[in-house]
Amino acid sequence: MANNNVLPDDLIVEILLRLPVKCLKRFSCVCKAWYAVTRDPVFMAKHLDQTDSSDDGNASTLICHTREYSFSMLSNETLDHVPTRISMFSGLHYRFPIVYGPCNGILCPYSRKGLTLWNPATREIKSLPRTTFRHSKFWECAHTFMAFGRDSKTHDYKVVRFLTLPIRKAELYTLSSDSWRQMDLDVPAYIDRTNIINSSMKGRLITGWDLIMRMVTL
Amino acid sequence: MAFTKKVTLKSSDGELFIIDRAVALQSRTIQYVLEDTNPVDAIIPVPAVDARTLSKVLEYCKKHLIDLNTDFEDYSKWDKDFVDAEVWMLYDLIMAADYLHIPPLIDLICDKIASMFKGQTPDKIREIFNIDNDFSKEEEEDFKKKSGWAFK
Repeated sequence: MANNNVLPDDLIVEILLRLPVKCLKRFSCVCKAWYAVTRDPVFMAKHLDQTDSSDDGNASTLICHTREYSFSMLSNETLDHVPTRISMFSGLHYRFPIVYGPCNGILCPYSRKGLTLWNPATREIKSLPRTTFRHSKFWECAHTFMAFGRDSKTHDYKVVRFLTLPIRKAELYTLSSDSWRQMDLDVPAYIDRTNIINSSMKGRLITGWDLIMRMVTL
Repeated sequence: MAFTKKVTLKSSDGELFIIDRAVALQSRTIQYVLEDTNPVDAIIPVPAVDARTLSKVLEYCKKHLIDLNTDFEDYSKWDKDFVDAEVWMLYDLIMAADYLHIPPLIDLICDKIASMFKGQTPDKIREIFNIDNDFSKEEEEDFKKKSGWAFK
């Protein structure tokens, strides 16, 4: 049997689902069929589910080295250096980068130069377009509130940005449109930065993101 | 008893395996055959699986018969030893498990093959699974340039 080992497609998918992202990236050049499998949104969603639910060490920890603004990823007991474009974190207001997320393994780092969507596992980086309003003064940064997440209905990644002072404004970025638009919303005067709001309804904790999504999808 | 307690399976190379019905029922393919035809003392052919592989599969089915005396720890140790085999054997086993439709065995072998894949190069994978590289040299070079980190 040694020379006609051809596995059926469904078994190949089952095996690939069990591999960490780094292996998938490497094996996507095995042949065009495998490449197609790894780029398939259904496969990606399943892989994410599998990684989320498994407890065999597939989880990764991202380590930030603040002195040199570099990152390492600790997964499967190996430590990988994750190179980033240094410009992504230059000109930060704080020594430590402000990073929103993670949401499905995607982070949203924020610097003076703008926002970025970053998947450290696949090394994919996407700069977001310019926001519709920008800080003119340094202190305004302290009155900006942001949230990054995925709309569970449309499966679209979204970034919501509020400015509470000197004027109240809100804007929304959607990955599907790759653009920002201003929103006609009653922006609250103060938004809890802890990102968690205790809802009185049924004593359930809802996150700031849930609340914002409810406002945004209205 | 309306059902026979024993079932006879016949491998592709003609060997007969007389096993308990409960063991055979772990294969959904055989379960369907038994439900549909309920063959009494009949021989069920398994044309896709040779004797060596079939005996190995049946060994797994016997072990995994619901046994309240065996705890989970025992199974995982036994399973680990069971799939500690050469690639060609795993290949034959997974094809048999797929044909006989035994989901837990498919899962077990997929886990094992995936763990064997982890440190391999694309070249090695192509060799093991007899896959033709349909990318051009340029495409492959370009790929390595863009995703070089994944090859380290």
